[in-house]
Amino acid sequence: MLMQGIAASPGIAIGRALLLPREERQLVRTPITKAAAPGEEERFETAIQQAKSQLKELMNRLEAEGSQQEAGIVEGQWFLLDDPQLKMDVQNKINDELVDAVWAVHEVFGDYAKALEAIEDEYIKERLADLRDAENRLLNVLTGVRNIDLSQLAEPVIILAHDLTPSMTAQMNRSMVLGFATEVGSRTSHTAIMARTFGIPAVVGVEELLAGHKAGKQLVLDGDRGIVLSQPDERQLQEYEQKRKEHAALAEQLNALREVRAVTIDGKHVDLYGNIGKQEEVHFVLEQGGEGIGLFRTEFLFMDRSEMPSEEEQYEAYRQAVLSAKGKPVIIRTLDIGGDKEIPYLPLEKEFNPFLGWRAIRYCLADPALFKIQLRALLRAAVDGDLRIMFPMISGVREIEQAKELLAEAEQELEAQGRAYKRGVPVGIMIEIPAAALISDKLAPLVDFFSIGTNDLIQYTVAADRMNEKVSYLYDAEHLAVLRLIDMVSRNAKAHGKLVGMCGEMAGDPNMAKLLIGLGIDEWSMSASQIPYVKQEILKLSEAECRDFVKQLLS
Amino acid sequence: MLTKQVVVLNHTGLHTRPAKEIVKTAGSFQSDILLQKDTKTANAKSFISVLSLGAPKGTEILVSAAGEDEERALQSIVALFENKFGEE
Repeated sequence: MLMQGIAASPGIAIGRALLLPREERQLVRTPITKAAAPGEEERFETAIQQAKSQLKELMNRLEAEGSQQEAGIVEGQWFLLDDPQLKMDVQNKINDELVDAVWAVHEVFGDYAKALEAIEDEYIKERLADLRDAENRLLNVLTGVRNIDLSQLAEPVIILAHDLTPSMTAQMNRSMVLGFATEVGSRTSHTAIMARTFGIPAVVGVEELLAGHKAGKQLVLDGDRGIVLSQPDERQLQEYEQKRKEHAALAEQLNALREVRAVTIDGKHVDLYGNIGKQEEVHFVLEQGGEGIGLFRTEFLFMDRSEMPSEEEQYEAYRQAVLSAKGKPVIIRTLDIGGDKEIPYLPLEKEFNPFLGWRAIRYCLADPALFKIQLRALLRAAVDGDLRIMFPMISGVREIEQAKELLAEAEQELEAQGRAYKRGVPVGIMIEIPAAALISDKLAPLVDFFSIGTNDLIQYTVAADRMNEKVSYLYDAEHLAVLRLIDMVSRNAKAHGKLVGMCGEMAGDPNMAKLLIGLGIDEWSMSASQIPYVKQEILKLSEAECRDFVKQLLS
Repeated sequence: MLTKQVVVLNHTGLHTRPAKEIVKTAGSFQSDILLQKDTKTANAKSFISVLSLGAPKGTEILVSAAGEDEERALQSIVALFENKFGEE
């Protein structure tokens, strides 16, 4: 039987299904006799201890992997279960109302949830999910429901689930997972992102997936076309086995390129770097042959959480990235966020036009205290490697001056505190606003490097939203206006002896390699998985020919 | 019993991380430690109580400690607030 979903991560997986059933629990108020009360109390105590040790184990594993944020969430649940109030409330309920441990736990957690819901605080409300998660874990232990331990998979499987949460993917023994399919999700949901990061096929948004599959039965996962094929027949199996081999051969080919230098046939070297959202992704970039990180998007440290990341937390994240890069450059972009994203703890309002609004550097310069927390964390982390700071959405000279002033203040503050930090950290800016491109000659002397953010530069230049189907046809990286701007930025950078890189999607498109070499872009930063493809293209090109080609285009 | 008035100074208020710090610190003392905000009182050794207090930046809290080690207990908790829970 064939099911159609959304292609979330490319590749073909053929294997047996492991079904992760949705948790559905029937809870009923179960009365007990007075004599049974002590027994229920003991049941509860034992369950608490077990649940706590499960959480402790998970926490240690996450910390060892460097997933600090996830470890913190799990620790929060541990604190919930360790709470003396919880113990007291549940015991009282068991004894006063003569109900069993399961019902007592359910009611008490329900009361806690109501208490949290009553608070007007957005961030506290986010804790409701953790409360539910902790309750579920405790009830699972009490009722003897065995959680499928994803870290103990004995044989390779294709995981089928309603949804995959961060704690599930964090636990997984990846070497045993051939692919994922989920009932919900989109190309940008957690499941999809994790699958692409692990480099395994995935299909999401498959309605009735679990109903249509039996555990242990063979299936084919086609991550290219978003297809889940249960119990394939001989012919289908053969076809897909062939496709899988082709994929594997391609992967081998690209693998072989890893150590090869990205140089044109006439000797021009291009720095191929990677874009990342989390410090843990650095090694994926290096694995693909990337020579540095051209863009570390720090927003992810600030998103999907109820409180701001502290200086310490940020410092740890940046430091991890720098250390993982083993001396290779890591360009970290300061907070680039706006009202279009849900950040409950920042006073970002819903704007009519968030992409032309109070975001990114504009927001940071308006909140120096917040900005300096990030800057201090960056300066401290710079001690451990080649960290470079990049400011987003710059539109003029004044913003650069103000940002550099705050950076200097941050240095002084660290000096006064006696904290170790690096002086002279290279500072660059994103060129994504046409105004900045047009005065790039004035901006070049003020910074150490440029990085062209083509995604936004193109949108702002042709005034079209690439996510708007009606006008996305206007979003064209090869539009003469865009090429002229990139050319201008490149020339101005070189006239002042500054490096010019690019971190938009254009950089990761092998078809653009000719243009980018001809335009003289020194450093191209892209998704890790794109690096081998782009390198393959560069190896075929001649710089001289590319230059001529661009000269023709621009004349 | 000893008491001291403090103000929540850190940017994010008494959220998960500061709550954890309070519970960890309070738990190491024998005294009963309470946090009072207006009419609401929270047991500083209880994570859910501290979270349910709902104390954003600027909230005034009355910290009280009663027991054999009340002096050190009070001092330690007050210090957490004054150091902004290590946030800045």
